[in-house]
Amino acid sequence: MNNNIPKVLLFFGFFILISKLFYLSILKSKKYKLFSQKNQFKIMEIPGLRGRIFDRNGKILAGWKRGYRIIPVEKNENIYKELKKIFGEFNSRNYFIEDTSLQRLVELKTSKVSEDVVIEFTGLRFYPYAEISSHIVGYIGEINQKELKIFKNYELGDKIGKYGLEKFFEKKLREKKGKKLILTNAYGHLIPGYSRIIKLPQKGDDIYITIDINLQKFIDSLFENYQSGACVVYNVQNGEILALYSKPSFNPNKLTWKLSKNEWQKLIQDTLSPLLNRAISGLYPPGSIFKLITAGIALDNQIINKNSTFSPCKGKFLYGNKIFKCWREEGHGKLNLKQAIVQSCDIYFYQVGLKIGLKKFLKEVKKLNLTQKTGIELKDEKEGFIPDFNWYKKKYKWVSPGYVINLSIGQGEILLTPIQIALMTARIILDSVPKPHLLLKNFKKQYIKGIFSKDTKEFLKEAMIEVIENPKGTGILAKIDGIKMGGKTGTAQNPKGEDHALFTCFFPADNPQFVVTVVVEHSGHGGNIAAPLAKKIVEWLIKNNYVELTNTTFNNKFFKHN
Amino acid sequence: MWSLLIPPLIINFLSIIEISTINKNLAFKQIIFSSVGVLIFFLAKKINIKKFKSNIPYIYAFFLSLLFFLLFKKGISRWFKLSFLYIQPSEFAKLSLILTYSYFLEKFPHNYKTYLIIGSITLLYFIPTALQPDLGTALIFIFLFLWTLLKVNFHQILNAFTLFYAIGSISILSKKFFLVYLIILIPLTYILLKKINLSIFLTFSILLALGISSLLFEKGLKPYQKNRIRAFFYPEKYSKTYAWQSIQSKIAIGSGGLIGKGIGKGTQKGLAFLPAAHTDFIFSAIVEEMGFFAGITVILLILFITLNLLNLSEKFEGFGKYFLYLSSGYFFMQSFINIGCALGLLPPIGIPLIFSSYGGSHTITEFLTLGFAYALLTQKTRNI
Repeated sequence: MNNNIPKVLLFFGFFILISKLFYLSILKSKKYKLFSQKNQFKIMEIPGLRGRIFDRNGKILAGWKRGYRIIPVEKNENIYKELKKIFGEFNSRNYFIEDTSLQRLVELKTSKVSEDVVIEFTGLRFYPYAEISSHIVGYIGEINQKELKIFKNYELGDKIGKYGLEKFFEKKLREKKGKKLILTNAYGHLIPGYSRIIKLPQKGDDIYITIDINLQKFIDSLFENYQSGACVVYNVQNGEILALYSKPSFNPNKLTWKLSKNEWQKLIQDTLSPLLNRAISGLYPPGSIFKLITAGIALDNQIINKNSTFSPCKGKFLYGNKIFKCWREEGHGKLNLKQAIVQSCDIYFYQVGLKIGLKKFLKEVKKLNLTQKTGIELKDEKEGFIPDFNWYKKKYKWVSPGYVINLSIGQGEILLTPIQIALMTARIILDSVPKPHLLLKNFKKQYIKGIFSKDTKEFLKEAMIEVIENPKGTGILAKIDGIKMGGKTGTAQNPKGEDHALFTCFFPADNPQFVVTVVVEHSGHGGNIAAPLAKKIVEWLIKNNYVELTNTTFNNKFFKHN
Repeated sequence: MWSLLIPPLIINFLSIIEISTINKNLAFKQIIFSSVGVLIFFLAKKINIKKFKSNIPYIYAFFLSLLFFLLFKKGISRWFKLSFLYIQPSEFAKLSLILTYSYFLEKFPHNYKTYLIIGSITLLYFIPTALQPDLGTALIFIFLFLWTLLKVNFHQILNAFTLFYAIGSISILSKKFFLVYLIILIPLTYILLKKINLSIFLTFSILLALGISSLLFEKGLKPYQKNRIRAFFYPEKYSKTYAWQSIQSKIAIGSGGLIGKGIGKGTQKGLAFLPAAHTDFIFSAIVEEMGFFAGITVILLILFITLNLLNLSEKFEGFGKYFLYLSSGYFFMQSFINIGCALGLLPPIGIPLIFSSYGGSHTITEFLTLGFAYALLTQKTRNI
């Protein structure tokens, strides 16, 4: 009964075992060593710090708040569920949470999943001035699908600039993420003390801007009694924008961090559009401010001269069978050009407009490039709108030459943004103007030419000074004792309610340094509402040593008075 | 005597070192188990086999009743609790079965009737064990029965058929085995069976093996057991669930390399990627930390143990011959399945590695088996 089959089987069996052992731990050892490393180590992101935004005096407009970032070690529904319990909202699409609450951190540390998450301390975006600066600084938010397609090197869950400077300077401000290895066991539990940094995170670049946040705050206080409006303070000697104010505003801290769907809906359905930066994208008819352009065109084209007069203003003007009114019902009487500007007579300018003619008027206005973007470092800036003759042809069967009547006083189809009005003002009184910008350093200096000839420029400047100095001038409420400045009021009719009050001014008159443009929506006459606000802003600028006053008498008088 | 005891003790020593890196307490217990085992080995020497033989049917009956008792006990489990000890009767049952086989093979003529009896004896152990469910041990019973059939000079045809049946049953578990079965063993058997029509034989055996395999798979297995087997065939699909153990064990062995990661430094084992590192997957843990050399040492030592018993059996007649032959098979099956699982050759079955895995019942049973062999060697006659 002795056969050798069992012995053969024995050798055969052990031969198989040894071959497989040899195969695994000698031939394929490299592969399995890699597997075992992959088993243990996971690559984790180290959050970096986004660059800060400072105002011209070094005040932080966008900085950091102490917070922490919670990253689940594993993509695991149970961990997500537990995190949701603690943090309320947790999107599993997003693999981390950023939070600032100490209480929730403690809750997390004592929960079931305390070993399943990595907690990183980090700085979270914070805007100390909130509403005051939000239209300039903007806010950041989680990247969406659309943005993911456009921007490279972003992942779901990353933050990206959504508005304002945060959006415009995304590349500069964005941090570079770091990487580290962490050790976990088979249950995905973190083994503390083994993490190794592969790449340190890099902070994004800081940005200094031309805004004076205190001025911005001051302007906000001036607007206390008004629902909506905008204001631009523009240094016409170097192009710096000192204030770019828009009301209503929103809290960027909420938009960046915790904003419920309800709150968001409320924000975008608000009829006052708090998400609209009126200073650069609010389109307004410039109203009587545009009379300066009408006058300038007429003078430069020698259609009228400084002494031209027309039929006197009796409050009403008949063209065809239509009646056009002057804002002053009792009329202005017979005026020359300067007086017409100072008293802002509508009927005088209707006749100037008619004398120029619609076609010529439109052609000349187009040449001035008033509607182009000023090129300020914000993405939402809008172009203005001034129609050309073809536009009328398309819209109406018969283009009446009378359309020029409304255009000549800045009503009708003409629409400009407050910053465009400010730039326009600067171009009326100067030969060459630096374009407005927000960056304090390392910006590209660009100049834009003045609009009119030297004579016309000097004439309009004088007229604007008189708007404030002359007792009959519409801008008399902007007058500051001892300061010589020039300006022009505007009252823009609009179908939605009360007129918009506009005022634009420059000072000091002998060496213009600043242009201040104020728009107060649905409030009344420019001279009554907007001019006093501009006056206060000018006073503030003087008090805060922004203006070099060459004539000391003005100085003494001013400070005595105040 | 030393050739019987030294190789198991070396394996035992290696594994206790490994267990100590997992849990010092368990290692300490294992030392106690092994010491008891060695003590029993020397005590067994005093047994007078001739007198002892007559008790074998009672021993068989005792363990049979224990196995059934476990089945009807509240809360089905593989263990008995005896004060502070957990005893696993199915381990002792393996030895009891070997003793019973030897007893019958010596006492009765080798004809169909005897094989029928032996088959029934096996089935009686198989049923309660498989129902526990302890599929691993139940399979060992079947393999022991086949191992028995393989040895006896019954009829060449039946002999070859048995061989086919044995390998065919393993092929339930592994596609790879089925291929080996077809490529190597069919021509081998053909040489043995020149007289029989080859085509009939081939068709018959393949159909039989496939039939048994699918029948067992469909009817005889629990869902989790089926999943383990499925996972064995499609490891990628089940890599996070049922194939997890197999894959992690392969990673442990493969990443150990030539000399291992160092004792106590195994990451697969240390970070809990390798399941049951101190019991079913002790081999993987040893190779991960001590490398290919330790692995080959363990395998060669077991080869030595089994070969030694096989060679000794040829020097004996009667009971001793059968017992030594069967214990060699017992150690071989047990080791082959365990290491095969660790290497990913077989789906995880859950059988301890001899003299190695943590556990008292199997360690003591194995030393006791060696003790009987030792006792046989010390008897005056070679015909027992």
